[in-house]
Amino acid sequence: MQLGKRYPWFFWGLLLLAGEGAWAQSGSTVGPIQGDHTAEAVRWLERIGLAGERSHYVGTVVMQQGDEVRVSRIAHAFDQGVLKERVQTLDGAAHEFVRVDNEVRCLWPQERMVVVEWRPLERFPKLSEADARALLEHYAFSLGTMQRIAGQSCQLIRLTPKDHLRFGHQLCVTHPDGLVLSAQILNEQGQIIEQMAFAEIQVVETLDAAHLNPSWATDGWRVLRTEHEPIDVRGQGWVFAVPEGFKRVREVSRKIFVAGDVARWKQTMQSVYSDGLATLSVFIEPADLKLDDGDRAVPANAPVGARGATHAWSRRVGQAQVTVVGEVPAATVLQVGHSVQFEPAK
Amino acid sequence: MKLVIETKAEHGRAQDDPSCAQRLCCLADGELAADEAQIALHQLLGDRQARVWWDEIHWVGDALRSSETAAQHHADFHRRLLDRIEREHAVPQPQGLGKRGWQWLMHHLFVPGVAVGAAAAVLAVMVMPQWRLDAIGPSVDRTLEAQGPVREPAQAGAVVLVKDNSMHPYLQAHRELVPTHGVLPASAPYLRTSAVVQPKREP
Repeated sequence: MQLGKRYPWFFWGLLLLAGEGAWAQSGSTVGPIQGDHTAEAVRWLERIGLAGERSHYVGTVVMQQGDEVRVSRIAHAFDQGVLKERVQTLDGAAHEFVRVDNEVRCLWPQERMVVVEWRPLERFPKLSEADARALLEHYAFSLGTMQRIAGQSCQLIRLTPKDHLRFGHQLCVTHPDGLVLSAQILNEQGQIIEQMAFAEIQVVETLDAAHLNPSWATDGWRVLRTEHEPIDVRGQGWVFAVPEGFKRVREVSRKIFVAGDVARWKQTMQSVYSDGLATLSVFIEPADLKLDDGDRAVPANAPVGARGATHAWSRRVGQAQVTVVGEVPAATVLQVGHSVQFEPAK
Repeated sequence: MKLVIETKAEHGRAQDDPSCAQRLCCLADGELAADEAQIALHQLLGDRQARVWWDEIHWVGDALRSSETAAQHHADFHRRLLDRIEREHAVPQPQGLGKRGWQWLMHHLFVPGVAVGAAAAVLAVMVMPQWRLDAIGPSVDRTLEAQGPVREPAQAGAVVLVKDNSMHPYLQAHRELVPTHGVLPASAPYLRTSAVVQPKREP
């Protein structure tokens, strides 16, 4: 995609943001908040969590992963305790996500298909003080200067990892509300490897329902529901190590489609972990010996795969295929992947 | 590097542990934490491949310090190593680097997590059997789109930019179940996977 030609406004915006990242590296931030100021960092994080959940807004957001850029339209509302959101992709294959509470419908008009994803129950409010304090165990919080994004003034916030097992994050949030207008993920060299930013945004008191409704009538479309059941992966004899601070969020048994073909799937165990910013999943599934390498979703023993901040690595453990995916450095998915062992109950 | 051992984790054979060579490099440079040094020493004592790499790390060091010393190990190795480094990553020509240069290279290329791509290139030089430098591709960062499915064993630390569909089922499954708690917008997992292809409909 020729960024400069198609999205000149955003191209220059990204350059400015990248410059901001370099600036942050140079140490000209206001400085880390430590000691007695931890409470201030916690207040900022709580405010950001609350604004992300409770605000009503509609806007255009640009996502950059490496040299790939995608533009989407987002409408977000929180109506009587129910989160409602619609994410429309504006380029590439037409599709959109429509979320109401914990159900997410992905509409594919060309395929005339709706994929219904059911997210396990998430609590509200989503970010507690304890969550914020736990996050600060592994990231140093610092404030930068005021910036301007999508016509709004915003406060630059940097979350620097305290080890090499996670990426840094840089946010620009409205002041004093804390709504995230841009989010960048930085590697150890301070280079931006993934970023999203609003190009324009309207924050409103109440959002018209038209912004949240699906773009297409789906009568007669095929409906595919992803299914997953809770499972105890360790109870199945599988053990592995995750970096400090990553807590188990859920473990399920589910289907993984082979090569995106809904007619071909493999039953897979998935363990999901999060440290409050980064997440990672460990997938364990039978290595189907009837499939040749070309049919495997991720070839065994391949190099680490990367898409923006997301890294993935797969290996064979006995008769199983283990795949680790997460917004963490390559070294982290390798370490987690290598730690996976099968220890059958004696 | 602290890991919480939720259940149990052990370091397997050096051949299967891509961080082993990096760890040995750091040990050679005296920059390894005590717990990691213990792992490295354990691998050195118990694993033949680790000892081979240990020797090779010092060959690389010798080659960077002096072409004469390197020639004692393998004819032409010094020239090919320098060619390889220059071709891959435009690292400053390390002629006459001396001890300081050696430490610089070890620190910047081999410290875990630092300059992964560059480290992979030099690690590839070290771990490739029989010094088959010419067999290594022109770049460590390759796209699956360009070269088709990867069927070769993993090279230590190699990172491949994925632009085909191989990761999509896992990205989608990951997106579906990660928490949308907290600091990042709830839409972030969906924006992150907005480029994934649509599933094929059953006929």
